[in-house]
Amino acid sequence: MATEIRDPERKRGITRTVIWCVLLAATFYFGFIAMAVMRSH
Amino acid sequence: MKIVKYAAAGSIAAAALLPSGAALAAWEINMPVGVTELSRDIHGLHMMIFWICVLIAIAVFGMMIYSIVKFRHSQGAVPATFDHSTKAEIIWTIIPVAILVGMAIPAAATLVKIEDTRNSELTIKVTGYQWKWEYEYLDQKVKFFSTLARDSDAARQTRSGIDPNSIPNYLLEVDKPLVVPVGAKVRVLLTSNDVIHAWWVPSFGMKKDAIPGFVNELWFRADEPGIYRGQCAELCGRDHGFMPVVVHVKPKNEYESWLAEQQGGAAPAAAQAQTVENAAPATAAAAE
Amino acid sequence: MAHAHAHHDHSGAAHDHHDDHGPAKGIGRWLFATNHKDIGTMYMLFSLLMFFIGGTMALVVRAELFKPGLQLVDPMFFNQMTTMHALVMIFGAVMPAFVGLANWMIPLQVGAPDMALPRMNNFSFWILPFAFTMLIGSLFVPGGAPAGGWTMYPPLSQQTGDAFPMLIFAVHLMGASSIMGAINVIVTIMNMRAPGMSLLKMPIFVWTWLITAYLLIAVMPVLAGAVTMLLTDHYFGTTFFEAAGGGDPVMFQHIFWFFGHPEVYIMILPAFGIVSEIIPTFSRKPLFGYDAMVYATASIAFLSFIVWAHHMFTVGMPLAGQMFFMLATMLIAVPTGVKVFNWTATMFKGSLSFEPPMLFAISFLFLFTIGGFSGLMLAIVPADFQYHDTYFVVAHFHYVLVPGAVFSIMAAVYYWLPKWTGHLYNMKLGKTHFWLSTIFVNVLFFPQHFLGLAGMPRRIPDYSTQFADWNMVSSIGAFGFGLSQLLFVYIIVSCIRGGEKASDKVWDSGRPHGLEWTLSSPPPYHSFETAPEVK
Repeated sequence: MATEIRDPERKRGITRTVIWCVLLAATFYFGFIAMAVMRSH
Repeated sequence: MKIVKYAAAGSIAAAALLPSGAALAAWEINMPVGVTELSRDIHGLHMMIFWICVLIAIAVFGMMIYSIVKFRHSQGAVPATFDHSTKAEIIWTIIPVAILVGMAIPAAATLVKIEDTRNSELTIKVTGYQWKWEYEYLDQKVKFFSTLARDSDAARQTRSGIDPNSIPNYLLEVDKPLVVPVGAKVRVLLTSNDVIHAWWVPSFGMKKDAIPGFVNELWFRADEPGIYRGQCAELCGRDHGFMPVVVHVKPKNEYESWLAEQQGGAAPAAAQAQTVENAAPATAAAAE
Repeated sequence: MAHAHAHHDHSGAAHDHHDDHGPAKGIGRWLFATNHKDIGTMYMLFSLLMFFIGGTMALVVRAELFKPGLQLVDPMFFNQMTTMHALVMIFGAVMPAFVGLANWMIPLQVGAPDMALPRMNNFSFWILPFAFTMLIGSLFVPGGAPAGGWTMYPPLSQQTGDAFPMLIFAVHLMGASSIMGAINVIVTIMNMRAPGMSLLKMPIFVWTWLITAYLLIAVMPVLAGAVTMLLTDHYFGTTFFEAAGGGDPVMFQHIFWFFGHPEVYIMILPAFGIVSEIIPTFSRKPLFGYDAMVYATASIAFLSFIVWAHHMFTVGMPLAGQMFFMLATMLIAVPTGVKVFNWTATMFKGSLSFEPPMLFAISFLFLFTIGGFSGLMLAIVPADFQYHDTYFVVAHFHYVLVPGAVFSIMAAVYYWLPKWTGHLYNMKLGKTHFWLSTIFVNVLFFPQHFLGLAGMPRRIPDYSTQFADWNMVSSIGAFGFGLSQLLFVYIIVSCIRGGEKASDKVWDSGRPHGLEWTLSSPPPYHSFETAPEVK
C-alpha cells in the first residue's frame, strides 16, 4: 500500500521506539504487582 | 451576553459568603461553621481560600472579558504580533507560588492540630457495618447499634408514597444515637466489619474512613450541646445513603446519667444479641 | 521522503489494489481499516454513541435525584448507574474521542502519510466495541452491572455478582487499546515528522498528545495490575487487599490512584492542546509563550505522578504523607495557571471572532478555571475532610471534565469537521448548541458545589430534605444539557451529508498555522504522500 514504510533506517527507528514503549509499559505492570507481592505477609 | 452570564455566576459565588446559620436552610450554599475548634478552623481556611480564588477569578476573567469586548475582529481590531515574554512567565509563576505558600502555612498548622489525638477524656470505638453503625464505649461496657430510624426507613422504600417532607430529619435520624459530654475531648477509634465506610459529622469538621482490619483514629471536642447529624461518606453498597450518624452532645451530668442507664440492666446483653442477629442479614445482603 | 505512486507490486501478500484509487468499498473499508482518517472517524463516532449511553445513565441518576424519596429505581440499580456512567464516559467517550482526534490530526499535523503502525491502529479501535458490549451487557446478568463505583475499591467491589469478570476483562481490554494507541502516537511523532520539523516546531496539539501518550504507557499498566490483583483475590485465593489474609484494602487505593491521577491529566492534556490550537486561529495572533506552554504541560505531567493520595486524604494517612501530598497538589496550580495566563495573553490585543470552535474554547477557559479553583480548595487537607466524598468533589471533577474535556472535544469537532468532510456546517446552529450547552452545564453542575458544602454525600440515591432545592435545579440542568446534545448530532450528521464547500484553509483567519490547512478539505486518502518541507 502507498503508506507502507520501506526505508530500513526508518523501520529500525520505529522498531526501537516500539520496544522502548513496550518495556516501559511492562515495567509498570510487573513492577506494581511485584511491589504488591513483596508487601504481603 | 457573556458578561451578563458570568456576572450571574459571579454573584452566585459571592452569595456563598452568606453566614451559614442563615435561615435560608433549603437553599444552603455554604459549609457549617460547626461546634468544634477544628470545624471553625476549617471553615476559616475554606473561606480564605475561597476569597483568594474569587480575587484571582476577578483578575483573570476580567482580562478575558476585556479582550472579548475590546479586541473584536468585527469591530476592525488589528491583531498585535507579540508571542512571548519571558518576564511575564516568570512573574506569573512566582506570584502564584507566593500565594500558595501563604495558603499552605495555616493549612499545615490546622493539620497538625487535627492529628494530635493525645489527652482524650473518652474513647469510643465506632464500627461500620452494611448498613449501620455500632458504638462501643471502651471500658464502660456499653455497646449498641445505631440504625436508620423506622419512619425514615419506611418512607425511603422505592415508591413508598410517603412524603419525605413529612418525616422530621428525614434520613438523618437513628433509633439510638451516640451520646457524648459537651466540652470533652472524645477520641474515636474507627473500623469496619465488612467493606469500607466513612464516619462524618459536618458540624464537628471530622471525617475518616472505617476500614476492615484496620483501626483509624480521629478526635473532636464539641463546644455546644445539641444534636449533630452526619452520614456515611464512603460508598458501601446498596444502602450507603441510609446509614446516618447522629450524635447527641449533652451537658456532663446528663451524659453521666445516660451512661449509667445504659450500663444498668439488659443494655449490654441486648447489644450482644443484636450483634449476632444483625450479622446474618448483613452477610445475606452482601451475598446478594 | 518520496514514495513513487504504487502502480507496481508491493512486497507482502494480500494487499489492496484499490488504495491508489481511494478507499475500499463496503464494510471491509471499516472492518479492515488501516487509514488513520477512517480509524479516527470510527473512534469519534464510537465516542459519540458512548457519550449518549453514558449520558442516559446520568439522566437516570438525575431523574431519581430530582426530588427526595425514591421514586424510580432500586438503590442497587442506582449504584449501577453511577458506576457505569463513569466507566462509559471515561473509557468510552472521553478517551476514545481524544484518540480519534490524535488519529485524525497527528499525521496531518506532522506531515506524515499515516500513523506508524496502521494495523495495530485497527486492532486498538476494534477492541473497544467488543469491550463495551461486554461491559454494558453486564447490566443483564444476575446481580446486575458493577455497582461499587468506577473506582472499584475492595472489599465492596468483591461483592459484585456475575458482572465481576466482565468488568475486569473490559478494563483490561480498554487498557490494552489505550496502550497500543499511545505507542502508535509516540512512534509516529518520534519517527515520522516531516524534515525540518524539530520537536519544538511541532504543533502544540501534537506536543500535548506526545506527553499524554507517555502518561498512558506508564499508568494504564498500573490499572491493569490493580485489577489483575482484584481478579486473583476474587477467584484464586490471593489476599492482596484483604486484611484477614494479611493484605491491605488501602493498598488498592494507592495503586488505583497512582493510575487514577495521571488518568485525569490524560483526559485534559489533549484538551489543552486543542484549545491552544483554536484560540490563536480565532484571535488571529500566535499562541503566546509556545515554549512555556510545552514546559508547563511537561511539568503538569511530571507532577501528576506524585499527587495521587489527594484522592485518599481520609484513609488514615500519616501526617507527613498528608503534608507532602497537599503541597505537591497545590503546586500543580502553578503550571496550570501559567497555561491559563498564556491563553488569555493570546486573546489580549488579538482580533477575535466567535465561531463555534472559539465559543467552546472560551467557555473552556472560563469554566475549566472554575474547576481549577475548586480543585485548589480540595487540595487543602483540613478543608478536604469536609469536602471529601461529597457533591463538592462531584462538582469539581464535572467542571474540569464536562466544560473542560468534553467542550474541548466539541470545539475540536467544530474546528476540524469542515476539514474532515469538505463541508461547512450550519454556524448558527452550532452557536445555538454552544449557548444551550454552556448555560445548562452551569445550571447542572454549579449548584452541586452548594450541595457538597451543605453536607450532601456522593453516590446516594436519596437525600435529606434540606438538599431538595438545589437537586431539583441540577436535575433540570441535566435534562436541558442532555437534550441540547441532540442538536450536536444533527449538526454533525448534516455536515457529513453535505453543505457549503469548505476551502483548504476553512477559517478566514488570515494566518493558517498547521500543515492540515495546506491539504484539501477533505484531505487526500493518503494525506501526505510526499513529506512537506518545514522551514
